[in-house]
Amino acid sequence: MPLPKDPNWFRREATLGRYVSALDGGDLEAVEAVLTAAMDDPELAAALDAVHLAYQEEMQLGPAAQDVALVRELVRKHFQSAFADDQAVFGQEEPLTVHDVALELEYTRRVPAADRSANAQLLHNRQPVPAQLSLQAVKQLAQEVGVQASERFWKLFRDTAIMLGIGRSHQQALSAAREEGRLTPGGEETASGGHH
Amino acid sequence: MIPLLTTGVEFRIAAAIARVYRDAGLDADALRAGVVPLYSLIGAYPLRVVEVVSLTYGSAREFLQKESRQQVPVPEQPDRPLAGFLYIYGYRDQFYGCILVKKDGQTVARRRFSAAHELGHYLLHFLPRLEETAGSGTAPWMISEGLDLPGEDEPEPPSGQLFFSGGERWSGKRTSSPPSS
Repeated sequence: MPLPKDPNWFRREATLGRYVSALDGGDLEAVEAVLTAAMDDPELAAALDAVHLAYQEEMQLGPAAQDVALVRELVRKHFQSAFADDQAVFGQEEPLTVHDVALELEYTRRVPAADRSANAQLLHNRQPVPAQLSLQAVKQLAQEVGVQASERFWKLFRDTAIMLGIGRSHQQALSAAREEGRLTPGGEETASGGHH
Repeated sequence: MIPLLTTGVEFRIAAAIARVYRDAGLDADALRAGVVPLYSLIGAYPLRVVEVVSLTYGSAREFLQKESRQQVPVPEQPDRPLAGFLYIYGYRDQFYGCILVKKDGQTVARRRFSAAHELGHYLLHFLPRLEETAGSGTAPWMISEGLDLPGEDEPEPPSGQLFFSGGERWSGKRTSSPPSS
């Protein structure tokens, strides 16, 4: 197997190893140290995002909003010193970025083989995705970021961004409802539906 | 060619069709006769289209929960078979949606009909409400709508305004009602 060209690769690998060990061992000081280091190292931050997603999946937290809310509470309780406020912890109030979508594509292993290099480039891009996620808007975004990728890739990118948008909107609404003490058991305030 | 309008409903439908072409950056009058670029039309909005095997309210919920990693309430009757399903979630004037279409046992025409049916709901019922209430509050809202499967003896959906354009098929027959109710 060829060795990675990035001289920082081994350092990041070692840091990730320490981070996972610290999480498993409940060593919050070590966790905080790594998270602080990630603030100045986007590559490390992206790798930590992948670790968090893997943990989330492993713990089967995905579909259960109450579990997500519980974890939010625990993190807020235990990681206050590492972050200025709750919004910063999860970035839920931040706009959805190209990085977020690329990371999700990477994590869910949906990147077509021919587009892996393109997605790797997008992992470094913190530009917000368009608020109106139309085909035209995503085409425009593709031109702006200057990354060559297949049409299929950009379709996957758009589809993934839409689902992330649904998830993030849910989380923002839940967070706001919790703060205002108006959270309903279903986590929804307004809902309508039907069939025919 | 704009159809001859005789009722308010037909006017609303024609206006919605004109709008969706405009939003998609397409010139309806310039299109050659043939199959309408349905997925380009849907793509004008933040809607994802997915074909799902054995679509029911339950499988729709499972799909949405898996993809969004959130709890998604949908109408009861989880085993009720569906031809199509529309889900939209909105918060703070931003919304995203998903159109699910039953994949198995459905012809291409039928699947396109289901997708177009849900787009019709979005354009005629949901989008006007979204625009009327824009900026009026911060409460989240969720909308879902399911399209029942047609009966075995029901015919294939006819070619409506969202299916074909150009020539006589663009002459104003309103055929967008679902084959089942």
